[in-house]
Amino acid sequence: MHEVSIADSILDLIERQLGSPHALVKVELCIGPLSGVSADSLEFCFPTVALARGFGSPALSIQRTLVKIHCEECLSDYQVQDLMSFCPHCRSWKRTILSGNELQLVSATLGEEPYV
Amino acid sequence: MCEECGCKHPSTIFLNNRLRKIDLQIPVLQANQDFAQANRSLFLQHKIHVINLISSPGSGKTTLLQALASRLGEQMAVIVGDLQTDRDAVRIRDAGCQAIQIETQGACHLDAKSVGEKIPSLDLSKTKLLVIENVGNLVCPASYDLGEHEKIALLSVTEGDDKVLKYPSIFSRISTLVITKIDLQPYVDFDVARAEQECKSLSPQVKCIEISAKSGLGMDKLFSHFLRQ
Repeated sequence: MHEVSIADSILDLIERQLGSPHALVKVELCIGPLSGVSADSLEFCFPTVALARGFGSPALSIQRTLVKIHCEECLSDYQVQDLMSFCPHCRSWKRTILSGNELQLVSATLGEEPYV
Repeated sequence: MCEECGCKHPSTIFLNNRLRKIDLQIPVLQANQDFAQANRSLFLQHKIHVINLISSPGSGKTTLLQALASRLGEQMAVIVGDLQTDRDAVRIRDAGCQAIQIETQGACHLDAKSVGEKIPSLDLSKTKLLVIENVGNLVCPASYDLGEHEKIALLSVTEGDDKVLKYPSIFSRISTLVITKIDLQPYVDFDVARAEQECKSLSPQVKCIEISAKSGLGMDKLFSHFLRQ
């Protein structure tokens, strides 16, 4: 829903590091299922925002993580894509979410010349 | 950070003589986080407890705040976000407390910067509780820290008891689930126990409170919960 502003935030961070817009070849992100951000929507809007802001046409590479969960019943750790499923070992719903909120800019790969 | 010389610049790897890769490892919403931290410091300085109130549109945020405003008066202040109009701020002011509106002009959530810009417009000298009524939306507000001490979500019985696991990013981040419009429960198939159990499966410490702002049911419990700090 708000992926255009997320795309803007990513480019703001890169611009702050570089001092100005620069032709990008690739941007790597890490997105968790609980981040509230749709990786598919971001892939859809990112090229348009990047081009409009003078960053060229970078490829967007998104590492989609899983939700890591600790079962409070059988004490095992497991990973799931969504939270509709219970513990695969003991079928309990009693759980603590360990991670899944990731929304991280991992790296940016720059081309040779500043983008004009 | 740079592994070559230990300077604070991100490390750069030359992939070939044309391409260089910069290792960043920065949270995408770092800028929002910085503004949120500044807000939090200000709230601490004024000794104000701050709640970020989140729900879908029409679940009863403003009606709840009207009831709270008429009891707390100048001890409470409200910042309210909507896409357009200051209708909600007017309703809350009429009920008896300070309220200022942020019109987001289409944006689906509040961010820490827009909240921070409104804080100077409030007289916080007598305020003990600041409620930030977020834009009605169960998705985007989850991602943005506003500098609050806790996120509280409302879920009305007319929305259905299956919503918690459909929107896990918000319901896993809240301290309290308030089930609203409980006076309408006899007319809808809302299973309170199911909603509460599913919410606890995302956030084991979550406190669940059932209310009707219209009939007054559960409101005393909610008021003391809001003011427990």
